[in-house]
Amino acid sequence: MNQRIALGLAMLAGAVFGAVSVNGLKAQNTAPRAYGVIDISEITDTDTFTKQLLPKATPPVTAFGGQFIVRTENTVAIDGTPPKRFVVIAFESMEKAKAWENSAAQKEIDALRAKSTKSRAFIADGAVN
Amino acid sequence: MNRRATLVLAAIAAMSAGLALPVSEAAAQSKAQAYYITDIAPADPEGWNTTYAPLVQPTFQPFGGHYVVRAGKTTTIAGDPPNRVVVIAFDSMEKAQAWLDSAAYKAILPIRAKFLGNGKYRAYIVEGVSN
Repeated sequence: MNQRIALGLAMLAGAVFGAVSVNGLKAQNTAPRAYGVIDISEITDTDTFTKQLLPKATPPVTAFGGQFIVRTENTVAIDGTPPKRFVVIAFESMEKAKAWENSAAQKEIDALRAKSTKSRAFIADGAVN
Repeated sequence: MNRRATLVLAAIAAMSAGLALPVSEAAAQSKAQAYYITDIAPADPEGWNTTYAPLVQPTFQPFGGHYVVRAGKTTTIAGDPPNRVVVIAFDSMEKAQAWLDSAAYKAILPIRAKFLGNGKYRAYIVEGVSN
């Protein structure tokens, strides 16, 4: 009997653990997200961009839970001129994205980007799935 | 020993039952490696939103595409503000291109052109970060 109880408890514990993981993943997948988008049409000062901006660009993003989902110069034109470089950063929420954008570290990146590129940047609300 | 082994196996089996599906879902998501991006200011936004926009999703769903951004609110950080931004994720550049080349998508292009008019637009595919 003890063995049966132990078996039952082990299965229950496993199922609970599995179920908690399921909920965790679901929460990640369905929460309303926000995306930081950086659209660079031209890098006008390569030295500043690669030596000053790039080494500092990641920490402000990760500090607010952001994740780079696009960070590329591999773009294919469909209509019009494609960007030279394109970056999309996923955040858990609009609040997190705005906190990133308003941080001192990101303001410094924005200043370096303004100095070294022709570009624009914005935050977009994620689609509700 | 048998008893311990059974216990461990039972726990593993139960965990697997709970975990198997979401793990594969998560893996499938981390493979989303190409994004179709568009920024459009249609000449007829009303017609675009009510007539053209609903036709698009059924054309990319067969290619595994899903909306990441669907013309939601935007906040400008720097430079020119965007217009109507849409981002659609695909598993690969090839899947995205296959959608654009498909007969179903090409069939709605005349409707797109009608509401776009002389409005501004840009569209491109970009490669996602590999995980």
